[in-house]
Amino acid sequence: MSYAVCHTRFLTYEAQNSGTYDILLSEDGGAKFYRMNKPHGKKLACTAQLLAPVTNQAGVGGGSESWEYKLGQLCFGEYLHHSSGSELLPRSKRDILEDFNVKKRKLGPDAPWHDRDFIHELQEPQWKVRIHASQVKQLCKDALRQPLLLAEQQIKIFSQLGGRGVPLMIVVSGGSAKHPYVQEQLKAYCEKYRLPVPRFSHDFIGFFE
Amino acid sequence: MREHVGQEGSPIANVSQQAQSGSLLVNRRVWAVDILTSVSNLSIDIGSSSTRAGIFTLDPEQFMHVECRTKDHSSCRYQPGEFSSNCYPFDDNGPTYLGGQPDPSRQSISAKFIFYALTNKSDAIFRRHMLDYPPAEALQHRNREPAFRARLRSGLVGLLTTVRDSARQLCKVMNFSIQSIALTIPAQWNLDFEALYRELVVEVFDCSPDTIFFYTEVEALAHTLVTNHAGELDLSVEHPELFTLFMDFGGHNMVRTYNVLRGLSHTLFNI
Repeated sequence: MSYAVCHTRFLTYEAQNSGTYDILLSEDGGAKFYRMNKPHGKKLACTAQLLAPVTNQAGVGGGSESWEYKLGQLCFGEYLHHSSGSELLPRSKRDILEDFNVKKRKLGPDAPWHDRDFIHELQEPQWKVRIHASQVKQLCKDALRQPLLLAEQQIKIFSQLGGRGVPLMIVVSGGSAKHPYVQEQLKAYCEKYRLPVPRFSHDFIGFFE
Repeated sequence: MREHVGQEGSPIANVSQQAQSGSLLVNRRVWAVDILTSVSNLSIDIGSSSTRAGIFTLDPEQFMHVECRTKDHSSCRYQPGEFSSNCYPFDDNGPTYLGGQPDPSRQSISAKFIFYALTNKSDAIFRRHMLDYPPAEALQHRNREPAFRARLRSGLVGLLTTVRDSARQLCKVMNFSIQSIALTIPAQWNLDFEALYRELVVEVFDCSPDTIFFYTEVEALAHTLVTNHAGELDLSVEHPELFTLFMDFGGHNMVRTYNVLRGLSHTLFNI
């Protein structure tokens, strides 16, 4: 029954001669293999076996959006306190979040404005919110805790493939990976497990905004 | 191919994914059918902030973006031409999906989180999900109300209908028809999510469930990066074998995939 609850996927490719496997994992760590097409790759099964037992999570929640959400909730709570019970209008909430969204790559740990507070001034109602830099950083760390935990776990497992004489490469993409905190953490994990510096997709595809 | 990066989610991945989920699908079809016919595939990628769609045709081999007809310049979170992922299920003051013209006076939520509310009938499971996805907690209090659930569903239908109308418009102009639909989903979405998504797409596009295919976001991303950016990744025949770990840090979640790449003189991903 638990297979239906947590169906996570994990694909390994043995590109030459094509063998593609889809592995479904249950919450209790069990794995089921599904072969998608013709099996040719001799090594594939052993690679998959090496990685399968530890990949009980294909993905976790968390990221820059959760950070923004948590910070927003903090601001809205402050207003509730300040106005003794009346809520901010959706428009004002949106203004605060948009403002943070613009600034968030510069705020937070390891970022250029790591010691700056987040300040937003509303015109109507006239009110200024200030979230202390240490709080902004803490919320960022909270929002990224799960993804970074998974990342470290995966990098550790991945590093175990290193003894086979095959080069290893880590490619990182996604909006949250543009934040310096994520980049610094990933670089540190790679150094810890003696892997080459990760490649960030925005470095070679480029920012286009 | 146009590549651009917004501020939220994982747009590099997502924008490229459309193209790629197309190619993946074509590859799989070629394997299955073994005849190169004129194939056109619509791919849809629902992100936390915006939804991207594209059509991939095999003959001629090309990828076209399906663009939102109403341009929204009021948000810096995504590019004009992308579809807003925001739905408005919380009040009865208008439609639950407004396309590219947001109403800042109404409370909104990303379509991505609506999937969590609609698939998890049990409160316990929903609560567990919300530890991971706090933005979904706005849905929790009213998740048991049938009328509210209907509004949530109509938000998703509204989004897909808007994509469908733009896609059909493009098909009419370019004179081809959609034969299959590729949908990208987070790796942790289970079969319940796929069932709901499939049901909605069948309803909106009036197509057979057999023409719908799911690809995880990171799977599509890995495929795109390797196919379109092999040079930048220093992949070459001099290093015929390489283990690669792909990690996608989206706004919504983080996922990963492992890939064993070898034999670059051959197709890298020969699915």
